[in-house]
Amino acid sequence: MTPTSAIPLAVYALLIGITSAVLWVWTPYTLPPALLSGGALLFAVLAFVVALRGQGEAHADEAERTVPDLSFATVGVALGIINILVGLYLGLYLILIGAGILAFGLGGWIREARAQRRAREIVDAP
Amino acid sequence: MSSATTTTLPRARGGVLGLIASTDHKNVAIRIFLTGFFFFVAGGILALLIRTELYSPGQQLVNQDHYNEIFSMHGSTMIYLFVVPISLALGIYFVPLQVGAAEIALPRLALLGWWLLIGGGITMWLGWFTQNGPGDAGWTAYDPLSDATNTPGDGMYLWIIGVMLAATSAALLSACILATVMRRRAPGMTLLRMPVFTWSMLMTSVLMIVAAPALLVAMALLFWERVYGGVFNTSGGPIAYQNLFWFFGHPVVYVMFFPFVGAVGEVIATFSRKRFFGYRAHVAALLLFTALSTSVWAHHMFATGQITVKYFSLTSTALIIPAGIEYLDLVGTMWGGRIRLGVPMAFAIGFILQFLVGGLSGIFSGSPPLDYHVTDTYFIVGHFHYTLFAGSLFGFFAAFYYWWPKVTGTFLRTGIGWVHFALLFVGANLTFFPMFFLGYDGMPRRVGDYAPQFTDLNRVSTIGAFIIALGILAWLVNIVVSLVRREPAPADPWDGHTLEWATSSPPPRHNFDRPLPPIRSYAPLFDARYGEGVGYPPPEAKRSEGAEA
Amino acid sequence: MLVALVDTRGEFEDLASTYLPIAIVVFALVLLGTLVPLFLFRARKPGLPSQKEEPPWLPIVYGAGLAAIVAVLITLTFNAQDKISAKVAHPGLQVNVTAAKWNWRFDYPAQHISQIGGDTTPTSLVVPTGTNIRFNLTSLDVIHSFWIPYVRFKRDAFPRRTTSFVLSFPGVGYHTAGRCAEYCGLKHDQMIFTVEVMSRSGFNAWVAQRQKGQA
Repeated sequence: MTPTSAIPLAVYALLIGITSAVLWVWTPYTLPPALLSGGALLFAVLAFVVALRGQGEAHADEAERTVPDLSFATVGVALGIINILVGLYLGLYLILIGAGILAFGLGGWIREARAQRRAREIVDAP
Repeated sequence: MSSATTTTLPRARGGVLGLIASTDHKNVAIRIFLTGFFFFVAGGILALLIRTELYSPGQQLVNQDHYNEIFSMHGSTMIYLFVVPISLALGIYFVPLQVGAAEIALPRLALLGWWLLIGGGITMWLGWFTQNGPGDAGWTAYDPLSDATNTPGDGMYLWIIGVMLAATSAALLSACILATVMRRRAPGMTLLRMPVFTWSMLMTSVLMIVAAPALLVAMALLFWERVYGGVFNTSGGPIAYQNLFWFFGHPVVYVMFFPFVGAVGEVIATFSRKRFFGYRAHVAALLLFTALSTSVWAHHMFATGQITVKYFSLTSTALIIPAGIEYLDLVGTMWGGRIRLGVPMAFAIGFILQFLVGGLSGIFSGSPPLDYHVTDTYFIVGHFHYTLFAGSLFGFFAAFYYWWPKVTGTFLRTGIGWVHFALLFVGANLTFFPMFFLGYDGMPRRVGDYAPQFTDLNRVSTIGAFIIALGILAWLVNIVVSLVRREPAPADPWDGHTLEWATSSPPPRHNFDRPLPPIRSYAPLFDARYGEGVGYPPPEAKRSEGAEA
Repeated sequence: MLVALVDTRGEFEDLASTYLPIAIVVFALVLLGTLVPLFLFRARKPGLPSQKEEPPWLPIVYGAGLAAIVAVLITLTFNAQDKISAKVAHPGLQVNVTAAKWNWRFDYPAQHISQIGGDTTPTSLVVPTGTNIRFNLTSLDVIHSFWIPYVRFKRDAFPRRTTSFVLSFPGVGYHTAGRCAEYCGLKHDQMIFTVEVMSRSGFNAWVAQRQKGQA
């Protein structure tokens, strides 16, 4: 899509940039305006990224058409993350199990991405 | 990994495997809804326990310790595991359809988001099986109450991890919705031709993305504090936690509001047979609403004496402006329309009126001298249950009855639907209106016992809660009956305005089974069907014929 | 010379008496706005109504009207806020409030007396009427909140810091309730205190008596 997609994000960043500027002046405290400015910065960056990537997203539809209908790799990533986080409390053994599952999941994602690229090459082939 | 030269993408998507790993955004949304619904029932049972205990002063049903666990988990479950997920699920299902996309952007992230929600919910609820019980420091988990000294035990740790997983889930789902709006709109759908609901979901995603990091940091720091200490144990520590928490905590309540005001906008327009009134003002209001919502959070902290109350009172009271414009647009859509008063419309009007009660009580508490009395009392409990339950949940039911035919290809029963509405309407008002008086008269919140003079109003409230339960039961009956004895629904049962109605019910795997109509405004189906014929040509069609997105 | 009393109850009632009617009027307008169309604009014949676009000036004028309401509310709020948080150079009395799970202690530093409740008796805050009283509030453990509904005011008690505010108590010769309003764990709902408002002479007599008792 075109750079105009980024406009809502940029407007939002600008608006909370303004409210954060007012807060910096108004309050003696630091954390509140810092949080607000942080948000403004985050969305200024996001708007910038969206505007850049907006240039030339040809065949975007096709990319999603080649996503597999089932993605067990994603389930692996999820279970990996869950086990790692719960393992932060329950113990190292669970973190390691989670890391292992995560590795499988990420590997699966890579495999899916490669299959998608091959599928697109076949579709786009002359 | 294998290096096959042919594609090996699995195509089967049904059955148990599909349930686990389907990347179809429609399936993901349905599963998020089912997960959220499960936690809604769990959280609702906790609510009934609370209201039963509060039927009389003194402790009858549960001891103080259990009561504190029950109300903490009620709030946590409802917010993190029910309303936020289903708010986003509505977008996951309908934003791609409304923008004319064949698929959501980043579909595997959506699937990941659903699984992290399950992980977060289970982790949080595992706390019930631990020795000290689940996290019972409220859904807000203020430090020092939530530290290892004051709330010892495994349950609080599991609660923190559960929240982190749920927050990550919400952020990922929001990213999918945001990316879809940014990059998957059909040709012709400029930003100012996106439907009202899609705009609401876009700004919902923005809020969730700006808010989630603050919550994740707060939770991580809380976790560290519990394990190692030394994080919040300064004179400014506890207030720092609250700033971080509420920087998330206020936007999240708008995450739980915007999708439903957007859905209600669609319902009102469709059932008034009028294009949505004041679209551009609505978009501008939504942008302002989002920015203000990010800038008001310390109004939850007026009573601390450690924030600049006037600034946050100003930003909070200023919310009247975008809210008032949105209300003008909703009401303005009805005026001059040809209204079909069905169950979706009833819930939509219920939303408008009841959310307003919540909003007005919010403006009241946005004034520090007034808030110093009513904050942390049952007045606030009434306030947020009016916005969240009598408001957003009614909006959810409007969306549910409106979009059910599209999702399932069947109709919900109208008679049972009216019973559902009536019970919920009576129940919600009976339960939550007395709370304003209880708080005003001196009843604090998060209490299992109270002074005898508060008994009568508490009893009214408890009776209301059980009427709500009956209403929810009616809803479930409607779902079961409608699925067992199906009444087939066509692609567009309501004469809708937006693109989700321009495909079969339910939609096929890649959303559209027919070419899209030309997109010249935010009501493309309406334009295609009625176009110039009603004396209102869409201005966009005249200005920019065939403009690309 | 009369010193202005910090009158939190009076300011609350004044402000509420503006906010509440406005809220009721707004609700009534929206109620009419949604219910009247159900009668006036019910679909009686098939086909579409005319689709008039809203006049472009409408949202601007309406938005300006809303902004005016915001300005009024903010002005009233800021005035009330200024009055209840006014600097009081010479309060008639100082009370140090210490909150801890799940009880209260009131120290009167100038009078060298302390109030602390027992297992079944809540702590009693005894105060003279019609005087500015500065409270210095802190907590020994978690966050609590010092709330006296009768004067429409609460302030949170934080550990490791002291927060100060001034209250005065209208009327004389009554007891009223005080409650903890910040969830603080197991017995949060039992963390109550009582407030007894005496005449000034009565209060002085009470002080003298307590000093003798504690001597």
